[in-house]
Amino acid sequence: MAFDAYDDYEQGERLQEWLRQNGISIAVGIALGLVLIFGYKQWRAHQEENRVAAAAQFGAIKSAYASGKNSEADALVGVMLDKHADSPYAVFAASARAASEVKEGKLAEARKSLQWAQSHADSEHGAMKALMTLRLARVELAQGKADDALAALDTMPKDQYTALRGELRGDALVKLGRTSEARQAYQAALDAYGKDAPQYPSVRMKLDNLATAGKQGA
Amino acid sequence: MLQNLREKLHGWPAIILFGALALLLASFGLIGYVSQNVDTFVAKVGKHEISQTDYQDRMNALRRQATETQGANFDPSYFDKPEVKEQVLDALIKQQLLQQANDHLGLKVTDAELRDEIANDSNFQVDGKFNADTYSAVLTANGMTPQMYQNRVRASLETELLPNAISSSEVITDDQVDEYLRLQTQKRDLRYVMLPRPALTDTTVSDKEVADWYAQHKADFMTPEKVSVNYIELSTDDVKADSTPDEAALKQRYEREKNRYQEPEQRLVSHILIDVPKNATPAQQKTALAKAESVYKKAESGADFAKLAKQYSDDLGSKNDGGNLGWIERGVTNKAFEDALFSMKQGQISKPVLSPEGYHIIDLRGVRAGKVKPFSEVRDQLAKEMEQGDLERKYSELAGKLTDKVYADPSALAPIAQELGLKVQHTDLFTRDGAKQGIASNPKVVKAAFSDQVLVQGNTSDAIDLGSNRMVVVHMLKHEASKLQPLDQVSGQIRANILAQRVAKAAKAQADKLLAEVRKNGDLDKDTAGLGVAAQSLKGAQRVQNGVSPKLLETAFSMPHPAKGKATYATVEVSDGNYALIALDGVQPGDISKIPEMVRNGLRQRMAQAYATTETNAFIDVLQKHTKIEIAKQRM
Repeated sequence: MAFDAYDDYEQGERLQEWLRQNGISIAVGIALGLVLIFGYKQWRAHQEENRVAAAAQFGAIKSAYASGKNSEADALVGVMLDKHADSPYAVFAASARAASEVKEGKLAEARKSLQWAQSHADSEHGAMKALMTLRLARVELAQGKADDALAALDTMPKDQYTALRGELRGDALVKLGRTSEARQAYQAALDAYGKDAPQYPSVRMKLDNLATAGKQGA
Repeated sequence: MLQNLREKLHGWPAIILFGALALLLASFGLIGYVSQNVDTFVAKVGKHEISQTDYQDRMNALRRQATETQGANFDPSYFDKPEVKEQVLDALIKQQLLQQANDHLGLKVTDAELRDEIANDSNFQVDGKFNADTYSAVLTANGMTPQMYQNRVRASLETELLPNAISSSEVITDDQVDEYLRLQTQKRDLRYVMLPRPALTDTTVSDKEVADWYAQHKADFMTPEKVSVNYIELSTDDVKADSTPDEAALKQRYEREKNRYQEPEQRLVSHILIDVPKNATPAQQKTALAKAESVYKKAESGADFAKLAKQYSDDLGSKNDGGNLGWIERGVTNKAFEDALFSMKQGQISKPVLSPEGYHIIDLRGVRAGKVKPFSEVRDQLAKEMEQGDLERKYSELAGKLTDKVYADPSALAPIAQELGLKVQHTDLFTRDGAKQGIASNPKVVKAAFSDQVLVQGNTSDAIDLGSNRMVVVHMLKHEASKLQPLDQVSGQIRANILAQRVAKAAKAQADKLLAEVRKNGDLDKDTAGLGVAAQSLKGAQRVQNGVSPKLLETAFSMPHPAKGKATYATVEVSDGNYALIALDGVQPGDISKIPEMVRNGLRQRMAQAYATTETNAFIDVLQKHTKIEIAKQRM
């Protein structure tokens, strides 16, 4: 090997020479690497802290709504949407606020809350967004905006929440007087729910109520 | 050369170089470099492997749970069924999907939630409150450190995070509740005619028809498979205890278990309590003591203790009963009170005694000395217990011998019975449903009799525990395979079946014909006039109604809504071969204004629960679709 051609002294000299020439760049490189590593770790720690904070905040919101302290809970949700807008907890918090607004008959506010939730939900392959869309459509239907509800439902991915979407589409189509489409939607919902689902008998009832001549006794 | 390198490479470059290396190793660890090539997972969810140990642990936990809840009825082979195994694995996969979703979404179990969960576990509570000593005692008994236990609780809470977030934010509108109620309480106006069964014009059945039926319905005419078994049954009746229990042994046992027969000393006591508030200031303490002493002086000087208690005592439980606490033994009150009480003489009234509750003035009204029941009083009971113990010991000895001998020679029962002085009995033939009485009525025995071991291999069964010190082993006596009954034995039955089928056909034809007519003519009464039965009218019928056939109502509620003045019609087979013809005249939505708020709220809650569950499952389905999942069935 080439290296062996030098004696020990020369080897040492060459190493020192090489270090003199490249020492600075090595040191800078190492320092940069360290900064990156620590930076990454800091960032992770910061993210973790944020997650824990959001979780705690959501816990407080849940128990406030559960014990009927609605205005206190609404205020907490407001802070949550400001501070943790990126967290899925904010999406659930907005939906929880909508739930309480629906109970108080404030449908317009509930719709706004769910629109916020829908536009901020973005993960798990669209499952979060689709869930919020479904809930939004329920509120729009209750507001008498069956067209909007139907449009919202049609933005959901076709292979997600099939049973729930089908049932709600049926409800909207009934309100619009589009009976035969409603029947198809309910039938699709029934197939997707399966006989063991608690919703099965009630969807069956909705479908039966739309029976037309010739379909009886099927 | 390395030696030189080490000598030359000192000072700051070396420190930085090696420092950086050390940091790198500490940050990332070496684990990633040690690769594992042999797969041992039962399922792989994304990058996470569910190991055989994880799977076995879950199986064992479920088995334990089933044994606890079902006791002797538990069938261990249940968990060997492939579909059950798959369900268990499926649940594990879902849990893993939820865990991974938590990571992506950033859902966390907070320390407060963890603390609450543990504090609310009744296993760690004393008098409804979390007790740290109980907590550590329970953990120690189960061989767990608090850290291990917390991790376990945290893991189980983690799988609830997403489901809880979905259900606690569930949106159910009044509109949904109302629409459901309106439909559910809908009323319909009906008229209906129960059509009489038509009389048959042709009641002759040819032999060929019978033969054809027989050929087509062979499965209906198979006799069930039957077996009978020989068996040896063993119970405590088959063993005898030693004739008379030995007096010396009884005495010995009495001495050993004396504390069972001890009645502790009891004292009849009343008291007056003067409250001292918690964290009382010295001044408060003094006031209380002064009050207690003045009450004591009054009692001492002969005032009625009961009256004083009524007037002064702060013990709400006893003051109205004159301070009476009844008969008290050691170990039920706090120590200060007890020490004072048990050092008093009957009839004495104590000076104020300070306990954590406050100052007590104690009146000792009676003493019942503790005593031990003498040997003569408990001798018979002891003798009985000894006899029973003796019986059980001999029973299990004999049971052990029987099991061993069956194991050694499973080919016959008689020699074993002879050796052990037992007798071989036998059952009559019974089917897989078991017999009405005798040992063949026990499902465990039936299962053993039809098992591969007994039925096919002809061996004696393993010992079957029938509970309360009874066991049995069975051996096949006779096996009757399932066989086709000969035609002449069943031809009568076949004739009846054919006639019944004809009636049903005619009834259906009659119903169809009437339906077509009434749809055309639109007059139920006229079209059914020839039948000799009048139409019944049912206005405002509900979905479920007493005295009306559920099938009829079900059909009525799935008929098309009638246009005004134009009824819709349908037929329904309400029971075998019996048809009804229904006319639907009107539909009214339910009046939901009278439905109580409580009912609506209950319904809304149930709906929220059902929809949240469905949403959660649908959410998990999406995760499952987008995650690569490998299942290794062979390792299950």
